[in-house]
Amino acid sequence: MPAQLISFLVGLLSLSAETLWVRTYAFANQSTPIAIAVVLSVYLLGIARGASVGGGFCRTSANLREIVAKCVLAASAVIALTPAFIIALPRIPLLLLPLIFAPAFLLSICFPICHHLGTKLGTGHVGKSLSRVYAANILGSVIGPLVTNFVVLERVTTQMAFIILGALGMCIAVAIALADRLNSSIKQMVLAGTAFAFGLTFVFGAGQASTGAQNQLIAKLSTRDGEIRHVVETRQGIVVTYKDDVAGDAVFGGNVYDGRTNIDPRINSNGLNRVIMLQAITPTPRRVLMIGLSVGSWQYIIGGFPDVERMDVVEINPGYIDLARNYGAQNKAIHDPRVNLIIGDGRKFLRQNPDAKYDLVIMNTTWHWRMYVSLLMSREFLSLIKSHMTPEAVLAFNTTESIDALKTAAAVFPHVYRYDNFAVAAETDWRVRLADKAASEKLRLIAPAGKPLFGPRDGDVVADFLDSSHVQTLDEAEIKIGRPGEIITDRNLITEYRYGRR
Amino acid sequence: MELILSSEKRSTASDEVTSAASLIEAVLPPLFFASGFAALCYQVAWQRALFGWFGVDLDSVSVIVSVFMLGLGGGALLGGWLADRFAQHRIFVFSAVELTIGLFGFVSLDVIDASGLLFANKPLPVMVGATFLVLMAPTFAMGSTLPVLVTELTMRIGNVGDSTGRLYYINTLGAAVGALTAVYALIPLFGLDGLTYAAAAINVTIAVTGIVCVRRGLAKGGVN
Repeated sequence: MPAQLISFLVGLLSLSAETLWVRTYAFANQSTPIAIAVVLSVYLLGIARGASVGGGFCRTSANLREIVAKCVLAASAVIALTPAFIIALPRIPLLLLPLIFAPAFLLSICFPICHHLGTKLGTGHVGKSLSRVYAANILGSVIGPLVTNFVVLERVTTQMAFIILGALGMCIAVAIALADRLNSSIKQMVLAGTAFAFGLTFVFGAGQASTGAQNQLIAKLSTRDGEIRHVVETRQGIVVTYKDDVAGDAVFGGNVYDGRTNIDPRINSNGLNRVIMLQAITPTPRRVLMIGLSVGSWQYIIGGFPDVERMDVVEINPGYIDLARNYGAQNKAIHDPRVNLIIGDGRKFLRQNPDAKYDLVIMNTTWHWRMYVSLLMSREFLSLIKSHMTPEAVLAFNTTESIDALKTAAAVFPHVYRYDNFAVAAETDWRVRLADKAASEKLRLIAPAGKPLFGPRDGDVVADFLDSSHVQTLDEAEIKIGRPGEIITDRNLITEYRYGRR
Repeated sequence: MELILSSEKRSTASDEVTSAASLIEAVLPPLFFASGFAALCYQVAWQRALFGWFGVDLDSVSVIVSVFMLGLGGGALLGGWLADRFAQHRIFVFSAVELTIGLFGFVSLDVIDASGLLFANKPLPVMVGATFLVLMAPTFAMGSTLPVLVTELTMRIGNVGDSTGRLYYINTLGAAVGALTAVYALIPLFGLDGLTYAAAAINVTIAVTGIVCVRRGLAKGGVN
């Protein structure tokens, strides 16, 4: 087999495995920027050490193709059995690191060997020939993640993706052994090893498929204990719901709390009051923009605001829509004819629709310390949203207790106050409308799916939702937190890196 | 007497060549470690800046990462050609490439923002083209360094695999340290601006060190 082709296949395997690991390790560690960096660093350390060892083989060994076949086989076996290892090991993130390191190390041993085999010395074209081997490796590194994301993860769970990738790697090892006229004992060893590893993979993979246990890996890595009701995996992410018949099922996106399926304001286990009070302070919310659907409980409530004529709902992960279909009220809400559901990025949507204007904008932002969340809380993005708001419009988003998010909103809008952990921003002082006598009557007009949200005996609940004790100024919030807020920008990313979770 | 002097001269010249060769072999690894460190800083910063304009949905992320990688691949082929074409001046070529990366690095975030303003609301193919145009020069430059240096080291030690292993090891080690330093120190303290300025300063330092080596006659390459 030509060295360029081996180099291509090794790159494909290696970066595909890295893609799966970024997804898995990020899930296990709640998608913090640190977690992503740790995967990347451990993978790079594996590559570095493997390259060093591979270079040593080029100095001392004559059977380089055999080494390549063995390394690809060993790496593939590790990849294929990764879900089994994770399920068997205690739930300690550090224990995952050797599993990340091993395939990177083994596959990288092949990298200098491929260059050694594919480069002809003394021809005057050393640079050209070795660069072709290198370019082939990079090409494999591009195609691997694309196929993994857009083909494999579209169809199977992360757990099965590891097994499939491992099986593919074993086939590559066999192809190298067969194509390269290796010493027959080595060939037999590779074939026997492959048969054994393939057998283990098949038994494990078939066991997973037949017992319906394809979510064991996700269940093992989940931070919350409890009975899992649904797991939805898409290439965009992993969403899990946990059974709770009292407070409503808990929704976890990327392994962090993301809401509940509860739609009863009397239970209010998911802070519905933060959304309900917007009916009192937004003069006429005809056009609504919602960035982040989650399971759709908030959207169900907003659909009951009497003035709403249209709702643009932007959700990056289609898995949430699949999930909402399992819950009656939320399923109705996403099929509301006034709803325009967009699967994509919120920023991109607003930039591609420069003329869209809204009376109410709600962002269901995730925790401020998670990767990429600065993009939804930065001054640049809040300014972009402001340019899409009508003069009397209101913006509300979950700060997840970030004082910096509140401060940033205050740098963009003249009137920003906290309502529980929401930042609520407008051109005018919305607290006046919250205290208005008409506010409680406005709340009583909310009727999702035609059913009034509040009954005649819910006066105390309504009064509580409108109570000024929920509201804080920026100064009060800063005193409570114990430091002044700072402005988040697209370039400082402070919620993720400076004040984020370590 | 003349014979003895001539022999001494030859011996001194030979010692100088050996010492120069071993010096450049000693200088290359730290330079390439630093180069890998800077490259990872850029990768983190540029991809993050592009995500802000083009989105963090998987389509956009995949486009950006793929364009980045394809640039490295194109650069690899360019590096091979440069290594053969300028066989006597590979360290100079490497230094010039690092200088190019460094100079772009200083203005890179502004260039990405300017491109984002122009193309962020355009369809996906236009976005792909814009990303490629913005990243072409620096990624080609980054991709070219390994073939240039591996060829140089191969000419000195006579073993392609050994040269590749040594240099890829040190470069990737630098990248791993860069990834951790970026996340634990540079971004928290200085943001993406500080990250790219630090990387650019590293590139310029590498370029200056390489050029000094060339000027002192330490880095004259072998031929194929």
